[in-house]
Amino acid sequence: MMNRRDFLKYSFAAPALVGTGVQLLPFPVHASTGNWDRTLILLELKGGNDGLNTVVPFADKTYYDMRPTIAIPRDKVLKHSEKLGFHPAFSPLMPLWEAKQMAVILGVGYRNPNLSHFRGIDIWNSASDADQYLENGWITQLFRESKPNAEFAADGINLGHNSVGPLEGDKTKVVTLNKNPEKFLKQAGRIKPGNSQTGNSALSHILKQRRDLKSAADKMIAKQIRTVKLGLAFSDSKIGAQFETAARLLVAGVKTPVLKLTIKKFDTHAGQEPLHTELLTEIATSISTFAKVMKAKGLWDKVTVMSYSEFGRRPFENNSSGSDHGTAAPHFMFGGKVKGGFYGEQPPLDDLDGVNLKYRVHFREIYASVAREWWGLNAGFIKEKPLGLFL
Amino acid sequence: MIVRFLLLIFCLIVGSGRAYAISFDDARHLLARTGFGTATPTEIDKILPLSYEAAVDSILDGVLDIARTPVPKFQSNPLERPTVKRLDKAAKKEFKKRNREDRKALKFWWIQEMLETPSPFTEHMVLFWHNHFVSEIRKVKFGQWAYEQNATFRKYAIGDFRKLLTEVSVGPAMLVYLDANKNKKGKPNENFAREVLELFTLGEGQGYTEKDIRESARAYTGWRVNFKAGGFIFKSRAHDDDEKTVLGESGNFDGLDVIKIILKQPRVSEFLAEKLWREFVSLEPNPSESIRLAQIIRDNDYDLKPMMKALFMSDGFRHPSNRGLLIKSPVELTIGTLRLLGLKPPEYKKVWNHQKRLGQNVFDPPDVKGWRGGTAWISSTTTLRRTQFLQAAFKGIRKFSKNTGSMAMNKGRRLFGSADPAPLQMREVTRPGYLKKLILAIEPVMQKKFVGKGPKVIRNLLLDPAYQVK
Repeated sequence: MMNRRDFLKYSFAAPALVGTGVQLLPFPVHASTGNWDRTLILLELKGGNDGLNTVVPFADKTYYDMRPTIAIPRDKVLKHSEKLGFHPAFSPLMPLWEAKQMAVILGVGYRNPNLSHFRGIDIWNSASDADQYLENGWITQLFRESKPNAEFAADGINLGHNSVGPLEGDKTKVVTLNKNPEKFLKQAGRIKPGNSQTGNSALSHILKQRRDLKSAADKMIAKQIRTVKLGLAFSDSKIGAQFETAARLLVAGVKTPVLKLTIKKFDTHAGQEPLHTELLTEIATSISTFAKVMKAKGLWDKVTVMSYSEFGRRPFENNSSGSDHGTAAPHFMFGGKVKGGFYGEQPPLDDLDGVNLKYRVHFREIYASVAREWWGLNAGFIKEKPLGLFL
Repeated sequence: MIVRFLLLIFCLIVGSGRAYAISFDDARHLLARTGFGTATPTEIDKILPLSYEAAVDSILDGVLDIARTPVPKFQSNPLERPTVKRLDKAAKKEFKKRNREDRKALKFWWIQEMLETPSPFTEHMVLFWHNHFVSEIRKVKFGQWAYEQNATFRKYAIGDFRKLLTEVSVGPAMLVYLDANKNKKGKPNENFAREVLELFTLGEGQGYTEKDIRESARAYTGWRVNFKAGGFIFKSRAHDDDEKTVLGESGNFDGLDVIKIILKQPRVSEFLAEKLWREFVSLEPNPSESIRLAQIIRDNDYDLKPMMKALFMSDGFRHPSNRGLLIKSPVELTIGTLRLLGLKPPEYKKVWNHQKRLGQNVFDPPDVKGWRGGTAWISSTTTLRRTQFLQAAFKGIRKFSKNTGSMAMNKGRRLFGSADPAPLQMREVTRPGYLKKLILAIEPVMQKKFVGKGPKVIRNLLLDPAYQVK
């Protein structure tokens, strides 16, 4: 499990584990001892996923009382313990669950949760406390502490249409690729970056984008991603297309530590079904295909898919057969190195904080796992301990 | 030395009599920042004889309260809606198609207004309010409702914010967009209540609590769209008649009471001042200026015009160091460029398409918080697409010179029509360097030819990274 080298790394990395309470100096930055051959795939469920209809407490009568029209019927739930089961749309994921390559972290949240979409996602993106405002995303903070390899095409590649989230910050090199990556790269290769330095922050942002774009494009063009044969067709949805591009990049050998994907429309205030089922189906079929491709290409041990969302939803359904903004929710990890199973604890429905669920696992515990267990990095800015999510 | 001294005396005498005429750079800056990121030679010429203050006044007084472009004809009447459920499949499809066409027509209508308006500042404010009181036409569905909201933004462009807030809140577009229409006694839907506080008035996390949201949601219960006659209707049966406590006041409030309570908070004027500062001056907040400008809003009972004047007169806005610090939005880049070059696109769809690809689909912001703006406009993707747009626009004047005038509509994809660059080039002839001063807010970045009357100079200026800022 943990070899000597790893142990040494952790003893530096996580003072809490050593138990001295003394703040050690951060691990030397230039050493870059991280597992830089590994890629984290961030999957943002934009709008606030309804956790209670994703991982369903089907044995709890309260769940059905609270949700007379939107609850998942008991006989439809894919049951995996005496109390918990998955939304039926997750059936394509069940082989991964049974192979112990799918981790489900229950009751993820944080103290004094913010129910605004924007502030909520800012907190998750920046790994801040509820009352703390940070400019940089958590990946940016992590990479400032432990610099990724210089030969990466980019520090992150965004395949969704939204903000770069955890990669936010002017120090991180991020490129956004969309529908037609080949055409995009061809044009990007022709751009002439301006080199001059300027004190004008707007202009310097513009110039930085041009330089990053040019350098990323040059590195990716060399990999010929169009010629890659994946062997399987991805689902015909926006998220399916994003997973397909992710697979192409990885199979072609484009080097990047982070890929960011986004699936929208989780803000199900009204008429939650059948929309929510459709969204979960898109996710499940895409991840299932992605895992098969990665396995066939020998890359499944090198990737981890991690879901996150700005918040969960209210246990009580509203009057519009929908659910309002809530707090804690389950999140998911998939990958060859993931230690499958349930983590944390399902927040009980009879012990609420006002009208909302109480969280059980801090979301930064997941980040700590990714940073320390997956990448083998220090992540001194995260106080929380990792969850032991990886083999 | 003596000459300089005499000159100074002369200036003082003239200056004491009347304020100095505005400088070229100030005029360009004022027009570009209040309009769409550029100023045309004609617009500049018009305000050059004025003092700076008079130039500001002319822009504020030039604000229109009604669009000049004729209202699009809506094929789908929202009042037909109750029958939709009963339509058969083909009729439903036809109904949806007409709706889609209406929505497109509305977008093109606004783009036309932005291109042709004599008061770009008006449309800049309409766009500002569109991004403040966000609604997405993809959810609102009916072009007519979105049009009504857009007209409300224009009616109060720099007018009474109380009326603006109230009229927008009870407009069908907002009722539908924020689910107020589904808010009912006993089962409140908090969407509208939250956004009023978070986005319209106080700002996220500023002086309200989750409880204020829940309580005010109860006060807004019973607000409905009137499908029979259009507009707003209050359905007392769905209204929660019990006492509520909002922002420290208790009573049996309805929604309009709550809006009045919110507007008593001084924070509302500060929030507006901060946002307008960010829009027109700088992304760097200036707390003392925000407080000063907020006071002007309060002193004028939410009439925004005096505050807008103070904003444009402020040192922060005028100072030469405040040039080129704001990134042009996709609407500014497209509309501003077409206005500057005098291009009249034969199809507004092309303009819309470019705006959308650059990340700003008017009437359809990404979500309830609207476009984030600032550096978020520039990603690797949009960097490339901005260049593509500018190249396409430049074609409109390059082709003109090649085809020696006439309607050069024959060859190639005439994206944005064509325009004669000669008037611009003539000014460069009499005043070398004119084009650079006209087109760019700051010095160019690339090592290229920027002075001279050849069309290449215009191209180099448009494609320089410095053209992306205003």
